[in-house]
Amino acid sequence: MLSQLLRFHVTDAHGRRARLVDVAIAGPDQDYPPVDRLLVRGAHGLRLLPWSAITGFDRRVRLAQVADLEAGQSVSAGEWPAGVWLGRDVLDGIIINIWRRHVTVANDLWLAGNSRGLRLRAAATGPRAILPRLTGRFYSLHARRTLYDWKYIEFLRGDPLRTETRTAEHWRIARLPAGEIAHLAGPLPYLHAAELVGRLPEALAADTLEEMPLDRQVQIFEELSDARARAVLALMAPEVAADLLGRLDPDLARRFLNRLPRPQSERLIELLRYPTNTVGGAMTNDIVRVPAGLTVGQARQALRQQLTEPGFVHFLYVVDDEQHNRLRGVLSLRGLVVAEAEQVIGELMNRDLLKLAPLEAARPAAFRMLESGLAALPVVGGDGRLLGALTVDAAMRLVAPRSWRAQVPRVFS
Amino acid sequence: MSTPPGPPREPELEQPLAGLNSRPRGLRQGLQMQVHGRTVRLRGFQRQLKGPWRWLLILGPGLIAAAAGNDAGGIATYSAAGAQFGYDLIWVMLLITVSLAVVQEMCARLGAATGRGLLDLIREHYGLRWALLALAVILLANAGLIITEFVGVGAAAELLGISPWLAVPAAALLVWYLVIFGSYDAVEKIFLGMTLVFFAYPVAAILAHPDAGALLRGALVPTIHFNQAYLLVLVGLMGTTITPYMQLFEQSSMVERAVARRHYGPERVDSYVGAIFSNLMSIAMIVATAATLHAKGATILQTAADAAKALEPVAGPAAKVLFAVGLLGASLLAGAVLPLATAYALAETFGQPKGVSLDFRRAPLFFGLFTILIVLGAGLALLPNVPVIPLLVAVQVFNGALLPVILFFILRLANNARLMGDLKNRQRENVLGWGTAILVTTAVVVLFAVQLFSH
Repeated sequence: MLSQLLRFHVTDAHGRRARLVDVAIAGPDQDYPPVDRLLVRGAHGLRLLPWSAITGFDRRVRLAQVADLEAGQSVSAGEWPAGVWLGRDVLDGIIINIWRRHVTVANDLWLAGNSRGLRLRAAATGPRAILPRLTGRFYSLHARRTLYDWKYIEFLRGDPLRTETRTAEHWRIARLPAGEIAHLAGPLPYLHAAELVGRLPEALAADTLEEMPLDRQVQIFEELSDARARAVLALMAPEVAADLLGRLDPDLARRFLNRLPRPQSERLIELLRYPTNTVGGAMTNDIVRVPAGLTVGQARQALRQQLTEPGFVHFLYVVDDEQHNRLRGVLSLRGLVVAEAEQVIGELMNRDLLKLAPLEAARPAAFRMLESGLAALPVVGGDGRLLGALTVDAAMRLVAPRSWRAQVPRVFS
Repeated sequence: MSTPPGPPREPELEQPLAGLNSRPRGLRQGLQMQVHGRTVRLRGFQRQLKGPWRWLLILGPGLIAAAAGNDAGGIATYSAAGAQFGYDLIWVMLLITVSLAVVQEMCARLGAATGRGLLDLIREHYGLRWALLALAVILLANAGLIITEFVGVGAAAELLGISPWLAVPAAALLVWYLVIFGSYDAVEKIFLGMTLVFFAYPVAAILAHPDAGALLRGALVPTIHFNQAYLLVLVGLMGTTITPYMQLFEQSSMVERAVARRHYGPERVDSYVGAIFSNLMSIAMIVATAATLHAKGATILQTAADAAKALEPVAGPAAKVLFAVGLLGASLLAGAVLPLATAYALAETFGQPKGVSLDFRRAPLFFGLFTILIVLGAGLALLPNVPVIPLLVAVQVFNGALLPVILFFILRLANNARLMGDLKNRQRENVLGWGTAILVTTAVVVLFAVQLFSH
């Protein structure tokens, strides 16, 4: 156990003696990272030694031997060498067990091996790991249930700008779906949650943020680094991103709008034109448009590129042409797939449309949307221009009680 | 995409049916801003409220908490102080108002800067042993308070003519059931409403025509008697005003309100105003009791019925009922929140699952401790032949004796630059904070010394 190791003393051939302060692990990308350095405090202050310097190791008297303590590099107390120091960074900190989907505290760490090498094998949790730490003895109290295999552990330090870490592809929590990550991040303090979101791959970070309640999104977003915040914002669904921007300080929001790629920025501006309590404030404008005059074959060709990007793809909205953008009808994706390639879109589409206006009150419109039984209703401006669509997801969020909102799953977008 | 010839025009509904189409009232102007070199008008921003509404929103929670902050122990201690020493202790109240404001603000700041609870921070920064010490302090202090809450329930029931043997177990069961089965939020408002009765104290304080000269002298001239009774009440006042539990609560409520470190600021005022307001209420209690009871000669309060006499200038013969309703509300409120907060603190320190949304099987430690505290509190509150008011005051003294431990941690943490960043304690806060710690410690030490030598 780490807590026992941290009670060790280190002696050298000259009879000098020092206290072991902390140990660091190498290669946090590995399943069971080895201990590679140790920090000791002797008569001449803090010294850094490689683990390989240890020549002997006696568990009974809690003593490790090295050839020369003074050979180590001197370290000032305020600036420890970079790396993951187990005592400082992991012990008593928050850990996430990816396998059990559980957030808890590392009450102790299990290091296995011998004097030639120790590897971090597990984190001990639960009240039973506490007693041995207080008395310094090992009672073999650790039930298997409360020892968490290090392979499935991520640890958080509450520092959103933390950089030194395993590489993104070894960041194991990234294997979980965004909804689950958001759920796990729920009970975390906000700085820890920001650290988590800050280190996920960008697309996943955007999805994870989307799944969180708006208050939390704002809190976390403001803690991300500038570049990361911009990247995540560009990848978020526009209706969620617009809500988030609308909650920021207007000056900060303008900075982001100016620095986002042009298409994303335009999309967000369109949504931000409408107050949040109207249909326009809840709709998405990341939808698929197709000119009515195309044949099905042409449309498939044209949409191939457009449909790879995420967004609302359940319906294709048929417009007269790209420039005028007047809504003529709607065609489901299924309709496009089963149709013959020569048929013209304008003849296939459904013209009986239920529409919403952008300045309608949002909640009554959400009820109408849900009662329609469709996946989305188009939002059309006074001049007949297609502006966006109110999806069932957005409508659910509008009508669900506040306490449910975090749990309403996103189906279509 | 090329634009092929449009389809034949067909008749279409240009707008949805007018009757179905409801607009929200009053569209806002929106904000004008320059984006990508052009001016756009955006209405999607949630604007900050301005003027009095904004302050009401910020100060509201603090004021309610302050009004309800006087639990059974507080009422008993302030009443005892007024009845026994008249206006002699008002200067202490003024002094610890500053202390309370500074300490509460420090906790709010800790909560905003880190997003974490106090015990959590102690554990991560000072290790497990110190965290366990702090936890033990909080467990002891809160367990004492929980007993006093149920004593309060019993006393209130007695005033209303109900046997405590019936009322206390019933209250314990009620509180336990409400919290675990989740309808507590709604009932909390009823309890809170009951405590509003205590607004009768300021009125009583005025109607009782206190001696203005004596009041001013008590407020401005420090009077210290080096006898046991005086020091006991003095430490009790400190213990009940600056309770360890209040600090924990302030910090975690800041975390729950999701105040981020970048936006911390108005909450500072909230803490200050809350502290001042709650202590004004306490002073009103002291003045009301001093003007009614002490005016007829120094009285040592024994029962709740004695304390209720302070409300007679307002309510006359109904003073007993009025006092009982307020006491019952305050006791039930704290009787539910304290065991809950203590169980949260324990589970947090051990990294165990916590929260009322779980169940016994998934969070045994959390629910176990919650249940034990309630059973223990209600059980000990039923011990026969214990004088109510002296017991309540004694628990506040105990709280006062434990306070320096928690203050020490708060001050150390609030000075940690790595943790607090820009929100680190400034010199003024440090002077006042350490001053408070020294003041309380000195009072406790002197009390024990006097206690020791008098035997």
